[in-house]
Amino acid sequence: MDMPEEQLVYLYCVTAKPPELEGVGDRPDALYLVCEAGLHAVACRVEAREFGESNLRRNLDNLGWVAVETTNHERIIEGIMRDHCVIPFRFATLFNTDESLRAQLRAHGGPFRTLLEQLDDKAEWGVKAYCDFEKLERDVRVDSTVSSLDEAVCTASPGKAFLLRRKRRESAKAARADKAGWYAEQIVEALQPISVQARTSEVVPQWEAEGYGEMILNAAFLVCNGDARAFVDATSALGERYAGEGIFIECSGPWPPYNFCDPAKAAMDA
Amino acid sequence: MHSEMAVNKDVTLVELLDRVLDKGVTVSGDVVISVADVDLIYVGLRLLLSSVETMERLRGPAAEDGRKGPAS
Repeated sequence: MDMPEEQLVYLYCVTAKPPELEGVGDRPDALYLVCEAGLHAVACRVEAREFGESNLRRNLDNLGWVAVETTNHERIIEGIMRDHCVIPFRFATLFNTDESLRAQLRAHGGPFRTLLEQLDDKAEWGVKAYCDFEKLERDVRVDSTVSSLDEAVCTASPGKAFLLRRKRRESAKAARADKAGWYAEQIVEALQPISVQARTSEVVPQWEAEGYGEMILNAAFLVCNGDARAFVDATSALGERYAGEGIFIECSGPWPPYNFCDPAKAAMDA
Repeated sequence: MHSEMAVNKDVTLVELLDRVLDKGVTVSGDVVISVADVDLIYVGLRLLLSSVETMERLRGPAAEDGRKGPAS
């Protein structure tokens, strides 16, 4: 298909069967399919003045633009995901022509088809846990090393007490980290049996859920759609179990399986 | 596929960026902007967003069509 030079092809996702585009995103008319190698790519023409290399870099500095465009990206993939298993692509995956998109589908057809089979009838669910360290700190004082240091501080000489206090701070910090790690592990272990795969990402620095404390777990689970209700119920049950201990658990989904496309990713990097 | 399972919470912009900028499949070829560039931008945005009051909840794709509605 001919296209004006000032346009680019934006790829959202790939499916195994041709998806219905009606009702997907804000401008379903702008979406179209590029079919090749038994795969169906959901694409859209975008303006080079918005998504061309230098302009895209400038736009990415604009938080308002990023918020609108990433939301749009997600909305379109979620629309397709309602009825189809999808391989979600990264934001701003762009080609010069339909033909170069076709070439990529041909080149990676095998791994994409295998991945679509593996992901079929499953979705990603996000689970984040936060820890109210002040609340946990009250428990940490019960930690034996810390409490014996507390006692020692009371009877020590000023110089010794200074060193002991420093040691106490360090022990308390280590005890905190251990405790946070322990909770994170418990949560992942409890949810693993209801999921097909689990991935943990690094926790986001300084990411605090309003009033819930610091993030201690940032995980994604691939869950069979038939088990989704059980999975959500299990996260709620964990939340209730640990609420009294200063742990807050947040579950979101269903998401496109962004975290579970590594086989395709690996093939691509090779 | 998922319509009967309409669950969950507001989505923050960071949570969205964590997925659409950091994860998801990338293809090489004539992709106009390099992955390394997006990575740099992503890290910057994430820090900016997770720092202060920009952590507003996004009533994104989700809230509007009833999916990922507010958590109970």
